[in-house]
Amino acid sequence: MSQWAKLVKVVGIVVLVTVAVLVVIKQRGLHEQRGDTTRRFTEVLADLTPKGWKIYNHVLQFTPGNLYKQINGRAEFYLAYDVIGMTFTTFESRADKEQFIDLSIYDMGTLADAFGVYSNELTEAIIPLHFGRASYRSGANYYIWKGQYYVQIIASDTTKNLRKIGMDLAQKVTDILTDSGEPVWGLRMLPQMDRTPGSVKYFKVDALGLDFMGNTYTARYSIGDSEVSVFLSLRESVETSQHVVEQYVEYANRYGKNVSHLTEDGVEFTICDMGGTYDVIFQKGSIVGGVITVKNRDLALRAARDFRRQLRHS
Amino acid sequence: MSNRGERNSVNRRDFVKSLAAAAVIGPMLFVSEIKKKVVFDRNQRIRRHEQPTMTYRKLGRTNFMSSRLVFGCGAALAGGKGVRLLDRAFETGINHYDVGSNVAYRGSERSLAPFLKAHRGDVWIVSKAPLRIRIEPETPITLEQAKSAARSWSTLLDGSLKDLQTDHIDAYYLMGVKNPSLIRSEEIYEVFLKAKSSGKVDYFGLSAHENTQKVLEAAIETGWYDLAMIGITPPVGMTGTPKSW
Repeated sequence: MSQWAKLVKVVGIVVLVTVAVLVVIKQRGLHEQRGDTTRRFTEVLADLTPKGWKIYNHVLQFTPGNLYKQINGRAEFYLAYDVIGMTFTTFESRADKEQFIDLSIYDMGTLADAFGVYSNELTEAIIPLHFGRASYRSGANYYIWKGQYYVQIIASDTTKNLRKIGMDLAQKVTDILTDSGEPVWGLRMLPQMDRTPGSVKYFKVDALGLDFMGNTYTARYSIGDSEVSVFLSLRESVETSQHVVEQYVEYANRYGKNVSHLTEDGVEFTICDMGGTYDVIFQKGSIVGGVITVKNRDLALRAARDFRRQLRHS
Repeated sequence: MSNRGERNSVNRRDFVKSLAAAAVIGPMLFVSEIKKKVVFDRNQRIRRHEQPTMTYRKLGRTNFMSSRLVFGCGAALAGGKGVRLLDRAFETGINHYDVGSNVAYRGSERSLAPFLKAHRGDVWIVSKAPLRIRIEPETPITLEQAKSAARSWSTLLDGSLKDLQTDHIDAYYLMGVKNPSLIRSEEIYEVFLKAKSSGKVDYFGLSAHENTQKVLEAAIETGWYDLAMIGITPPVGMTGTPKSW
């Protein structure tokens, strides 16, 4: 081997080793950062104890592997969004031990995943609040999305006193959580006009009950007197999005009545008659979008056209 | 249960027995749309929407012939994700749908409500709610704790009916129980009996994930429970030594 070749080989090995070391250092840094966050929660939560109350037992930390021990079958829901961990504690009134408040802080790892669990647990009968990126009260319970975190504050009863204490706790907990401030893709892309408030949801997997639909946002829009459900999914590539459309057609052919296609201005809309309702889907680069379960075929097509036209640019 | 000596009186036992009797008679006087659609065979088995693609078995101490597959609606319907699967399941002959209270599975009962409305006479619906009480598995509950737990469970039962948009549910469970003294609580059982006599629910059950053997033994001892749901398969992602069931 010539001297030049030997030199190239040595330099190549040095570069590879350097890159590997840098990766390990970064991973360790992230791990320590998460460990720091966990320790920080344990220390800080004691300071958040309401006046006249105390922490019942301990502050508990759960991983994806043992989250089931705390919330049983519900763990599957958070695991589907790749939960990193959960910090849990109970605050108990010193004067009345039957009064207590459970605090759960889910570290979902990313903004989208935190929004996903928050949006899917969001129900209609709520009172919107101003904590974090989004929050609401239901009875004396509080639900908050801030950054990569999802917080639940659940009281033992619905008294006015517990509502007040829960509200104070919600504010304090929100203050200790960080938020990168980055936007969430789906919330940025979905048109805002005529969108039903609070209707946006994010599904990391199994959106629309379909195993090939992941990384998908859904929302509802008003069109005249009707309300239409839309979906929007960002795929890894144009090829992947095309494959998703093919799978959707396969699903519609199997469970629906028929599938037809309509091309307008170079855009193909696939119209799926699901037997009583219609789904219309389209592809735009690496995005797959459409409308679902619309009772009227013409309305479904019109809504799909409008939706595609109004999609914001990434 | 604490204070058992004080409360173990003839008067209290008779009261519970009378409630149990009322719970049997009461529903006969309360004829709902659901009961009008119930089909009984000559063995008084309750049969609903049976299809040749499914097999059926008698469910616990009820007379209901349940599909061998049960649709778990809790996590599946969160956010309305799996709602379209409900019709698919129904087509295959699944007639048993299991969900949980909004405090445990937020929004799932509401997501199930339209399906329930469309198929009420053809399906069996179970929901459940946790007892809002902090207690270690082996610590006997106090009377005050029992009353408090009973009160909150009753409220959650009514909340479930409201979210499901129905006035009747086939069975309602104590959810995730690990303390046997809760299973033996007359205060909690009375709540069920009152709900049954007013036509809100027919059968009583429990679900358990921990300390299951003692919980089941307590349930058998009381004779009050018609159904029991226990965790058998460790969940995906669970690590470490499997729990002692």
